[in-house]
Amino acid sequence: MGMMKHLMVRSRRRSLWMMHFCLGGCNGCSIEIMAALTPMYDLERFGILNTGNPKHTDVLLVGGSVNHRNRRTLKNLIDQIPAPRLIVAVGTCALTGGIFNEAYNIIGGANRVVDVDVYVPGCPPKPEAVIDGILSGLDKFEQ
Amino acid sequence: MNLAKLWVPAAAVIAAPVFGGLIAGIDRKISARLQGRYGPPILQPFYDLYKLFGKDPLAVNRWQPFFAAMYLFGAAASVAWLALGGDLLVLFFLTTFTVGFLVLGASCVPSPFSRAGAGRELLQALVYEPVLILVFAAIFQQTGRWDAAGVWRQGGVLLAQTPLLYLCLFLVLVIKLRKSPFDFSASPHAHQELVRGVLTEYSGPFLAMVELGHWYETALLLMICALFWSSVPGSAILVAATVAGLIFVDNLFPRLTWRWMMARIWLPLPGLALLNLIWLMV
Amino acid sequence: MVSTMPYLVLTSILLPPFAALISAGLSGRRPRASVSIFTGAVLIALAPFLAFAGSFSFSTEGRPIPWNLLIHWADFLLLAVVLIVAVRLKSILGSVFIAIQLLVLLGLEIFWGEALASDPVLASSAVARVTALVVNIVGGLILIYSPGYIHRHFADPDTGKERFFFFFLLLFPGAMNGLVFSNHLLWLLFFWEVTTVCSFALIAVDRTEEAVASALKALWMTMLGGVALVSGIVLVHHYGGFLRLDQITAAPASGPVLLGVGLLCFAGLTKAAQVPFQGWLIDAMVAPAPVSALLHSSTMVKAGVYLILILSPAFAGTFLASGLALIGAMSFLAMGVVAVSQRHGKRILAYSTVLNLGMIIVCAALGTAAATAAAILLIVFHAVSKALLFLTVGTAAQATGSSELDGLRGLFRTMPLTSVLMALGLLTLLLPPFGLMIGKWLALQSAAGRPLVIALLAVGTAFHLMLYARWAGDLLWGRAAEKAGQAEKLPPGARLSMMALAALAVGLVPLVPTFLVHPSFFGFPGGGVDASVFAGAYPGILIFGALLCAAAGFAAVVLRRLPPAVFRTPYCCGAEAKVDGQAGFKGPMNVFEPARFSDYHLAGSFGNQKIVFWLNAAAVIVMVVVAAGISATG
Ligand code: SF4
Repeated sequence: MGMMKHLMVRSRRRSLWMMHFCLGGCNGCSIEIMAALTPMYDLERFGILNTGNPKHTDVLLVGGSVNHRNRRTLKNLIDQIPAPRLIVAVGTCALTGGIFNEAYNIIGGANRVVDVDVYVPGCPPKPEAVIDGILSGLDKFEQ
Repeated sequence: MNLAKLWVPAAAVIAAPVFGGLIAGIDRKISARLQGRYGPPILQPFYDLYKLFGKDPLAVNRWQPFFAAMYLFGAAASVAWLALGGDLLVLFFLTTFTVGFLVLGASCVPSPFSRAGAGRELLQALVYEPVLILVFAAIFQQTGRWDAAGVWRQGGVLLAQTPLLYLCLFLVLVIKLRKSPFDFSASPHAHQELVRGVLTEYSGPFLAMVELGHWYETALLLMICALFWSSVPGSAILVAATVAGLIFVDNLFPRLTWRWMMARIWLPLPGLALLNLIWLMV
Repeated sequence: MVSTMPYLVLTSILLPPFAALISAGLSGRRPRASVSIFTGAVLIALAPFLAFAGSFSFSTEGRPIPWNLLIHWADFLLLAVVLIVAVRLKSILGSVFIAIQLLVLLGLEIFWGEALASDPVLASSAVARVTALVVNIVGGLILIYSPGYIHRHFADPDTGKERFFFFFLLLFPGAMNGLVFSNHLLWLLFFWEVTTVCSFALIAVDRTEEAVASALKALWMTMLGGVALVSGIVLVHHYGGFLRLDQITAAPASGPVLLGVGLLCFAGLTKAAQVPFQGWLIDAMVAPAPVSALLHSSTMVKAGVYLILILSPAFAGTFLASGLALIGAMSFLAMGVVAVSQRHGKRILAYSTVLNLGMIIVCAALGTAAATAAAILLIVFHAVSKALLFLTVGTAAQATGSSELDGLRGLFRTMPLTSVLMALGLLTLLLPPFGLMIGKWLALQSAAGRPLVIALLAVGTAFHLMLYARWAGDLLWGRAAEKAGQAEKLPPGARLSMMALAALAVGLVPLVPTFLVHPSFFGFPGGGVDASVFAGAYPGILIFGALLCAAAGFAAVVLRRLPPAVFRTPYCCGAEAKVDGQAGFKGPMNVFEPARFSDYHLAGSFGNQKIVFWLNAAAVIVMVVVAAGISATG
């Protein structure tokens, strides 16, 4: 039993299928996330694959700030991600609402709607920081 | 049927997914290298699969996981059938069983992506099923046997007489293993036109079942390839060369559309196979 | 010892017309329904005796009733009545063909008269007994199903339509039993005409313009077959001196006799709606579901292939056999191609019927023992599965008002039983380990060495997969309504017969080699199919079937336990929403859009009209070439 569990933790840490969802913002974070997916950084080394489908997702990268309209979309997507899952907020907007925070339609950061596991600050964060953010959330799978 | 021989299909059912998974791992590694990347470990597909089994089950309705299970069953049964040395025509019908349940699983949900993927899967079946039958008919023509065991025992290099057929079989492999240029029903890469086509609505353990079934299918097709050079070293060389060819083609060709496939491949492929068959007869 | 067999056969032939007359005399729904259900039950009970009580024959010699004369005059009378109907409906082709038949029959009577007696008039060959088994069991079940359907179909029981319907529906099984047990060609001809007339009347039963037009189309096409049948009889009698089937099949035919046999086969082709005569069967789908199930899929159209199959010893290995194989294979492929672009459930089933009959004709033409076994398996299992499909589609169409495939989507939510049975029916047409697949397997095996036939069958099989897999999937969209009170309500007869057909489609499979095609039961031509044909793969197929049942049962038990919380909507890019249990997404302006999808109809690639035209032309050419070839060699 112990070995099976150990193997499961190992597999979860080694196989991270990710999806990214840009709520709103300037899209700079999305571009950095995309940059992290290029062959230059070779995320497949870590078993990270871009899926674009919540049903296959382990890691959701959220960029941009939450507003009244996209809140439902974010909830829908998260509802379709099977547990255990990791939710990473990327960029100031996703952390706090960022420079859009005062706008009439903005609710704030992603954590106003969902439980965020890792916060990656920056406006935008560098691809290295995004990768580091994903990998530092892996300990969640230990439980 | 000899009951004492049942260990052969049993072993095949256990070994085939290991083989299929390894092929997938090697494929991913080599493709990464061809693209100048380091790539995932060879065992990556196994990590993926095991992780999927450990996720929470989510489904759209009860039919969907049921059909996934039937798909897996059909794929495993086809491998067992071939390992048992069973009748090749029956094997053909077992492959229709497998693809039939894959399509059922994808079309029993009101999801546009998965439904469109199912439609394309069927179009692909329209292309490769006739070729498969013609391949078996040619094997019969050459060896006088319908049972795989007999074909294997006859030995010899079928490939020498059936180059065109083998080419067709190779294209069937490209289609079945969802390789470029024909990777449009459940494209494994992030093309995202149809999300993941027939696989879109599966998740967690049910996706793992479908994935496992796919490995069985990979193993099955390569076992059929092995029949074309029925000696242990010969078939090993043939299978290795075929897999290498697959990876090469996958990386070399851009993706095409299903319309292109229907227009350019649908008739010529069985035509080519038929030509080879008629050539065998005269 | 005096065998009871002749009495059983006579009962099976005479009981249905008797019941038809009684039901026509009754007024009120319940009595008519009881007659139909009773007749159905008796036929089902008779079926095993007809099939397994050994061979029998019936002679007219020395009987008090002048049977031959009766049959002969009944034939005249029937044709004369239909001629009047055809003339009144202004069907030129129909009238001409009927008139020709009348003239030829008259000629026969004048020139040969007394010489037309030849015994035994009724006999039971192996193929006849299997066909009788199917006709009576499937036909009986459909008679049990019919009242429930028809009471909803005709709102008003007193317009006479319902009476008309039951008269011909009940008459039909008798004619069919007579047809398969006929040995004398003129008896065969009579029963053949009766089935044609039943078909004509039942297609027209709704009396709409479309129904009447379709009925007339069926009339002229099958009456053309009738013309071929009488001409064939004249030829084989004049040149060969034959009047009975057993004489014809005793030895391979040649010369003008072969041409006569060819004409008989031509009649079979029209009845089985092979190209270029597929049109009438497709149009016949305007008839109510029990008619489509009974006549146009499971029994009457089988009369065509039955005739060809039973004649196969006479033409084995000749030019005619090749021609028939080609026509059958063409029908098989082409109907698959054309059906893909269709959306109407019943029409797709009709195309698929033509397609399967084509396969049976290929088997009959191949003529080997394994091919004969394949033909019989296909006849049996196709009848069962197709009847099941027509009944379930009919039931669904009555409840939902649509038999378009798009209308049947998600049927599972409201009609779980019907939709599951329909899906099962579709899968039994298609997948191993079910009977049709076993038949196809034997057929492909016998076709080895004929690459063209294999290729046509192979492509046709792939189209079949395309047709049915997506249809079956569509049915099961969604989850069954969980509230109690919403359970589906079916008439008890309908439920019983649909479940029985489903049970037959699945349950007959293990019996195939020991029972259905075993030589000791039926004694097939060509020495019978011995067990060696099955030895290689059949036990494996059975084991596969057993494992499949186990796996399916296990999966079902495990998946039943999935809690409702695991069910999620399909992925629609985060915009998904559910309204009234229907999945979809929130579109622009927050408006709900239900999920929709239309298939690849391939209408562009496989446009109906063009293909059908060239197909018919090709089929006519094949027929002309075959006829010319036989005449030249003879
Ligand atoms: S955090 Fe900065 S870069 Fe990222 S979306 Fe917001 S404004 Fe753009």
